[in-house]
Amino acid sequence: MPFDAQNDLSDEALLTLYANGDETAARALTLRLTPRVFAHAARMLGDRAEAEDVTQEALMRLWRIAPDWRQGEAQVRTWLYRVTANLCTDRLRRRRTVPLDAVAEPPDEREGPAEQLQQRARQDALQGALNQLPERQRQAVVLRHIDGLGNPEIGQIMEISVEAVESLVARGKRTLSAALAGRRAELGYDDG
Amino acid sequence: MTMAETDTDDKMLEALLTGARDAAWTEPSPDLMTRVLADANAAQPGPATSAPTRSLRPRGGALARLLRPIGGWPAAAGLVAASLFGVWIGIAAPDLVLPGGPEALTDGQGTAYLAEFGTEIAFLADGG
Repeated sequence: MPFDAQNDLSDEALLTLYANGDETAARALTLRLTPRVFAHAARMLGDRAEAEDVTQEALMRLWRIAPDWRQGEAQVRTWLYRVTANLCTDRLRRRRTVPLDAVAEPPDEREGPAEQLQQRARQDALQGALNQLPERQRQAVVLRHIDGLGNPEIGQIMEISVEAVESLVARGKRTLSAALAGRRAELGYDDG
Repeated sequence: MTMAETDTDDKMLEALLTGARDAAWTEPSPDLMTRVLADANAAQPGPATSAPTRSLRPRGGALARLLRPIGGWPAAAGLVAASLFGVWIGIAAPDLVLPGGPEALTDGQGTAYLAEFGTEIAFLADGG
């Protein structure tokens, strides 16, 4: 199947093609899923190198389960987020302490030097505050407000009720706001 | 903290979270993409096949290879049967094929003519 024609296919359909030996499906799934998994792992871990390891491992598990994937039982994206979250949890528990300034952020060449510095300061501040959140609150906030998922899907990923998701997100945001409250001027938000 | 300050902090947080969605540092490197794709290709099952692949190398001994151009053992058996039948015809033919024997062709009573059997057996008429 031509590569372009696969943009409209669901993750599940692509995974079936992949299991049947379609090489373009492997490429389409890699391009579609790797950025999502990596971004989530990086936010959870605050470290690019560790996030790369988690991403590679999570996707390897997907490739291996592909021949046994049962259509209609689960969404690939939900399954993959759950695997990624579990891998991140394992790593966080192993290292116990999270360095506040662990973000190794490369410069964003799409912006000018001043904007780059401002953007970097904001991202560092946000990530530092995220790193201080309890793990489940961090996961819920990242899934809801950065990954852009709905509460029902977050509930499936975290295996909790929608109400529990809402509670985790609300508490997480309150803690984040409090942690960032004194840095409005520094981050360029002083004009309201 | 006043209500206004809380509202301002909430707006700042929303802006920070929205800005985080396309943060460059959470984009995967080309090297990671390459490694993931290599894993995908290495772990990918092959295309489905309906039967095991058979060797294209000819099988059998020298006699089998000799017989292959004419159709193999079945064709050879047919040839042998036809040959034996020909031998049997040669022995039993006078009575079976020509009731009354070759003389019946030349006695003027039969309806068969030697010419219908070709020139090869014309000597029967000469000899009779």
